[in-house]
Amino acid sequence: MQMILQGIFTGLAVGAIYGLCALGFVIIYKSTGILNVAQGGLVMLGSFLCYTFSVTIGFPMWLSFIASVALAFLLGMIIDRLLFRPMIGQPLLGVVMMTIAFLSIIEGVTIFIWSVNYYSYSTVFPETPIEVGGVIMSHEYVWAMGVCLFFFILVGFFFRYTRIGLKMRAVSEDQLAAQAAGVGVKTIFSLSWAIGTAIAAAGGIILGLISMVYFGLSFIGLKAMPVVILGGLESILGAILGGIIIGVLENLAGIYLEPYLSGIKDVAPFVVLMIILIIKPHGLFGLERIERI
Amino acid sequence: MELFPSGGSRKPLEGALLNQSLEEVLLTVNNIEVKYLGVILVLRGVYMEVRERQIVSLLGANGAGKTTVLKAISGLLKSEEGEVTDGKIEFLEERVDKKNPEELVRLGIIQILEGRRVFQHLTIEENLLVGSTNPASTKTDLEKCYGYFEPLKRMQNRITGYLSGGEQQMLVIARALMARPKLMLLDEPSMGLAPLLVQEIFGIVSSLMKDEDMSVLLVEQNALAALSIADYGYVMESGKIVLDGAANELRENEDVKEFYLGLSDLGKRRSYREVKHYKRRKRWLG
Repeated sequence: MQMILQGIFTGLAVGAIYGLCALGFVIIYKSTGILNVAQGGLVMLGSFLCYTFSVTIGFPMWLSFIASVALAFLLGMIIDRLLFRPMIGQPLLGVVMMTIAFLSIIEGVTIFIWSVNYYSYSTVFPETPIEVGGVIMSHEYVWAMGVCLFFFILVGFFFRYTRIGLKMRAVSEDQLAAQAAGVGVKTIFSLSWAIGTAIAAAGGIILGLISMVYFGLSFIGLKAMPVVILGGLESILGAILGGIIIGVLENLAGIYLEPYLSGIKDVAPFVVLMIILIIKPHGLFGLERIERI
Repeated sequence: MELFPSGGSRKPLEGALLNQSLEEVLLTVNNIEVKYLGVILVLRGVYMEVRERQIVSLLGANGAGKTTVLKAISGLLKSEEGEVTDGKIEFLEERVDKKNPEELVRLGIIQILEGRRVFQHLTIEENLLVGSTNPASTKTDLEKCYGYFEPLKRMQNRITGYLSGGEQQMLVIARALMARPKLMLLDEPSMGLAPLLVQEIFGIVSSLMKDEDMSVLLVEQNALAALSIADYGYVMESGKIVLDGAANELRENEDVKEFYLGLSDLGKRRSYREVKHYKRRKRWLG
C-alpha cells in the first residue's frame, strides 16, 4: 500500500511536469496549427537559462525562475516573427521541417554555450523530506506540483475569462472568420508562441530541479508529444490530465512490472496510448468537428 | 440604357450617377482589378458605390467574383494571396485598399463570410464577445444584439455548433453588429435556409440599416429576395460589372428576369435549359 501511494505521488509530480510541457505544445498548436517538434528543445533551453541566472550570475532561485520565463516569453515572440510569420499559409510539412531545423539549432547552441555537461541548481530546499502517512515527499517534488498547478490555473483562467484568451480560442477554431470579425491574427500567433515558449521554459526549470540540468531534458520534454496525443491535440485539460496519466502509469509500471519486464517503464505509456487511440481516435478530450448542416 | 455593353466595363462615373440617393457616399470602389498570386486575374474594372443607410445588392452567377469583391473591400483578400492591383477603394474619403482586416473593422467595415462560420465550440455569448472591439461598450452592445435577435438571448450559454442554420446565421450577423459597423458586407445569408427564415433575416437586416445607421452590401444568389430589400443593385458576370440600377428597375429588367429571377416576360418560369441557352447567346452577342 505504501509503495503504491509512493508510486502515485511521484507519478503525479512527474506527470504534472509532463502536463506542463504538453500545455505549451498545445497552446502553440491550437492557435497556429503548427506541430512544434522543437518543444523539447525549448524545455531544455529554459532549464539552462535558469541555471545561468541562478548559478553563473547568482540570482536567487525565484528571481532566476521569473527571469528565465520572461526571457523565454520574449524569445517566443522572436521565434514567431523571424521563423514562422513568413511560413503562414505554407504546407504543414514545410512548417514542421522548420521546427525540426530550429530544434537542431537550439541543441547546437546549447552545446556550444554550456557543453554536454550535467549541472544542478544550488540547493534551495531543505534536505529532509516531508513524510505524510508513510509517503516520502521531497521538497522539490512538492514545489514542482505546486508550480505546475499554479500554471494550470493561470492558463485555464486566461483562456476562460480574458478577452485575449477568448480571441485565441476563436482563432484556433476558424482563422478566417476570426480575422473577419476583427481579431488581429498575427498578434494572436505571436502571443501563442510567447506563452507556449514561456511555459516550456517553466517546465524545463522544474525538470532540472528534480533531476539535473542536462542535454537529455530535450528528450524528456518531447514526452509532451504522446501526452498531447493522449489528451487530444486541441485540449488544454487533456494535456494536463494526459500528462498526469502518463506520469503515474510510468511510475507504477516502473515499480511493479520492471522486475519482470525490464524497460517496461518507458513502453507502458505508449501501450496505453495505443489502446486509448484505438478506442477514441481524437484522444481523451480532443475536439470532434461538429457536423451540422 | 444599353445593357451588357461590348468590350470592357463601363466608366465608373456613369454608374455613380445612376445611384441617385440623397445620402452621403460611404464607399466607392473605383475600377479595381484583383489578381490572385500575382497572375490570376479575377476582377477587372469593378466599380461600385454604397451610400449611407443604403442596402446595395450584388448579384451574379457562381464564380462571377462577388465574394472576391467583398474580400477586396474587407481586406481579407490579402490572407488568400490576392491583391488589388489596380484602381482604388475609398471608405469615407479615405483610401483603404492597402489596409488589413482588423484596421478596417475598426474603421467600420465588417464582412460576414458565407457559410455561417460560427466558432463552434464557443457559446453564443462568447461568439458575440469575440466580435466586440470596444471593451467599454460591450455590455450595451450585447443587449442591443439580443434585442434584435431574440432567440439568441434564450440560448446564450449554448455551444453554437449544434444551433440550427437560421440561428447560426443570426449569430454571425449579431457578432458583426458587436463591432458597430458602418458598412456590413453580407455574403449569401440565405444559403440553405427556409424561405420564411430568409424573410425574417432580411427583415432584421432592413431594420438594422434604418436603426443603426448602417449600410449593407449584400451578395445573394436569391436575387428576388435581395432586390426586394435593396435600394440599388449591381450585376456581375465573369469578373466585371455588367449592369447596375435602382433595385425596382432591375426587378423589371428583361435580362435580370431571364438570368437571375428565372422568369420570362410572361411571368412564367422557364426551364433552365432555355435560360442557359439564352444566356450564352446573350453573352456571345455582348
